Amino acid sequence: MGAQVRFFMDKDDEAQFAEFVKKTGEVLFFVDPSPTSDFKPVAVFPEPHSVRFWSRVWLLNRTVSRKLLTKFVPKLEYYTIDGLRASVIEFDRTIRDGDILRPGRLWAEFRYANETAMGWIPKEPEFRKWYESLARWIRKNYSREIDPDYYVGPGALRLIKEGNVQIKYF
Amino acid sequence: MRSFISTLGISSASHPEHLSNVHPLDPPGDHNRGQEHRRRGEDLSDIARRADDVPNPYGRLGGPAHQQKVADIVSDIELRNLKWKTEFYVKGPGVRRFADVVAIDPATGKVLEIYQVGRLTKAGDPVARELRAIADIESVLGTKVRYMPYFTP
Repeated sequence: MGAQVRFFMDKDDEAQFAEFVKKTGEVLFFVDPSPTSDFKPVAVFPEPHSVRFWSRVWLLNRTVSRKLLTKFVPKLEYYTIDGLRASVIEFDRTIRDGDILRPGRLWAEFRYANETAMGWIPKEPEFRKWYESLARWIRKNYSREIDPDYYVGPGALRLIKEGNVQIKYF
Repeated sequence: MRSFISTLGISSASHPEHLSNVHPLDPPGDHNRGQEHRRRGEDLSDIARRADDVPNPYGRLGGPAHQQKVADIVSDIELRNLKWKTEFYVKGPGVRRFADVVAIDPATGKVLEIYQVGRLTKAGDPVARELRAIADIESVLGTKVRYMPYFTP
């Protein structure tokens, strides 16, 4: 079973989180899709709408795992990262659409079905520990006063409290 | 009841053909296949036997067959250039549920499609637990849930 932490971040919250993530090991950021299976990491999170899947960044910690599995999407002739099977954490970013703010999340799956779908292939135990360290940082530094199910970064909290944005979940 | 069952033409048989290339960075033998279970002296038949003992032994995300179906749906969503999320949290008045998979418009973040994966009764209907989940999720999101059955041997 996977694990996730749901949150709201603004740009500064994201930058602060990214800085923390980089300190947890040899961490690379990936954005799909890619024309080849040889994904090139990005140095920073992409600007909104600069690439198609800008709002989802995959985090790979090469200190923990080098297992970056990709999938070919034949109809569209590009590759995506196999988020279910690769040892990557999904950093799904908070989306600001005008005055609407939609939540992001940190999500990871720690095992996946084998070829026959009769058993599990576990990911590295260190992968779960790494995920927990990132989730713990969010839980420790963010507020749940807006909604107990969602952690809100200081920048996003200010935006919400000042009435500049309204939260929409779906 | 049968109207819940959506057939999207997702073929699990075709899925593995374009699945997963191991990245060049991968060291050999990095997969640790079944290590945890072997350490506990279990094989797959033990796991399957244990799975028969309780109604939902694998928890929220389901067993391997369930997750394989989820992977098939994800692949189908990717084919249509949409974003996907598994274990999508749905919260509303008196409702706390996780939809198995949703398809999302990558530009706006809006949920476009919702999928629940589960077993069928002998009559071919979704099992009761899934029916309750479907009703809850539809009541919050206002979007019809597509029920994707999976089968175990």
